Amino acid sequence: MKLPFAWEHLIGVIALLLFCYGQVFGLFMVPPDAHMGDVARILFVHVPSAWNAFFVFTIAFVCALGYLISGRKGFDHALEAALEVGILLTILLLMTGSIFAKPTWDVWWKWEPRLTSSAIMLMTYVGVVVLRSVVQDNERRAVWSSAATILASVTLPLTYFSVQIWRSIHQIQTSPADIDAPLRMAWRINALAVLLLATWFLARRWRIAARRWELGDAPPLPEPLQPEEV
Amino acid sequence: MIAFFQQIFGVALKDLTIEVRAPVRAFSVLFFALVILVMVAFAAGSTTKILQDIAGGTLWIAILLTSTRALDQSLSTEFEDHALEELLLWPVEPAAIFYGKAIANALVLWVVAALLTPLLFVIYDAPLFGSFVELVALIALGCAAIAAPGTLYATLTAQARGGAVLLPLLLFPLVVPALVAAARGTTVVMEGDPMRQAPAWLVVLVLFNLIHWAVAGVLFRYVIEEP
Amino acid sequence: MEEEAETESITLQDSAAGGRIDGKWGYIWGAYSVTWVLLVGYTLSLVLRGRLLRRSSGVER
Repeated sequence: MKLPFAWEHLIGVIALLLFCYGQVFGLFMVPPDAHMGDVARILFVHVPSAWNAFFVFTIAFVCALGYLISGRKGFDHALEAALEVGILLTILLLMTGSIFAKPTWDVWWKWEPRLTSSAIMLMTYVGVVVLRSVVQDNERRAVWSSAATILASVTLPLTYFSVQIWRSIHQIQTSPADIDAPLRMAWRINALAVLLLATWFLARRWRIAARRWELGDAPPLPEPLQPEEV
Repeated sequence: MIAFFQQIFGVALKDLTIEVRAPVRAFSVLFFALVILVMVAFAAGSTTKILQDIAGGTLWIAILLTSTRALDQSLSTEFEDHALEELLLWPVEPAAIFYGKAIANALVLWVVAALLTPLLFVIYDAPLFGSFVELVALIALGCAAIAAPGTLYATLTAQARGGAVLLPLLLFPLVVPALVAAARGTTVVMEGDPMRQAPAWLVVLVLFNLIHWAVAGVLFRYVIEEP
Repeated sequence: MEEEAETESITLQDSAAGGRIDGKWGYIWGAYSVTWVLLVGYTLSLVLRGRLLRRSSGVER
């Protein structure tokens, strides 16, 4: 069956609807948390963005490996898309985290292990994106950024580990299992919505990356064949 | 296998010969490190207590900043006059080139650290209540931890335009675990380490070194081959 | 209604000791607005970049 539009738009529409529903559900339909009250509603966007950021960076890592092993340009397009979407989600994660920290801990920023390692994760991948932006040659950019992504990804667990000893604060990992049913539902809906949104972003960004690759690869046209300026 | 180690040794020897034959290069790097140490003291204030507290951290900031100079020098030499391309024409493993250069860079950083650490005790009045062996181990492992990913990234940035700016951007977030471990470890060893934290930091450094010396060695082959 | 909701709610994190935090809807709206601004902004950037590229390449999709 041939759709009259790109396949990802279908996911995009579902994502938008689900996301709106998730927001309303999290804001108004879920009872406030016993300890943190209404402020805990921020977690309904904060935690899903964290999960999805990790997921998308995992995709980036896999694509980087895939490119180095196979050399297929599709992996590079996906890597470019995943890096950017991952950075977007991490910025979202840090901003909502910061807004959550103010009413609960009374500071905008706390050198807490997970917060700190997320910030380092953001800086690491921004470095890779900057590297991509200065390299002209397609293949070279793909290889270099794959190498940088792999190195960045294998360091992340160690970063988290070292920041944890550095602060010596131990917080329990929040997971939906030990939380009341409606709260769990709100997290699940939002996580799925953000996942679908991220998929739509990735697909759209993938197409842009693919087109850029072709533009970069295309040899300059001879003079008489130059397309006319509009 | 023996040949592989011979190649590593040959490349490292070549790099160190460059440093010895052109002492201006090495001297500028050492002086850069020294200047950072003095500048931080000026910026932080002359109170002995403050200087003692920040001595460990300052040492590692100085080494980290100096490493970008040293690494950039070491790799941009390879791309001037296509030196690396000619080196690759010899029957030499790309990984051997990486390990040779990384070892040479680690050695340069060790020399920098060996010069800065005594100065720390003189001009920062840093104490040393803990074990000297642990201090040496922390410094040795910390420098090696910067050298391995640094050599790989410098290989990329030396070929890109604006590379000298790019190197810190890529390298600094990556070496956060090594920096945290080395700087905190150095500080606790200087203060006497009553809680026995230094071994944990040494473990972090050993892990970091293992991961990066292995992974960067594998990746190097891809980043120097012409696509 | 409000009380019923409160009895239903349970602990999210044990670390938030020191009494319950009430209200503070400003922060909540802030967080949700930031989310929307970021996501809508990124969507716009994708659309714009796509347009620009399509114009410069002349390729139809």
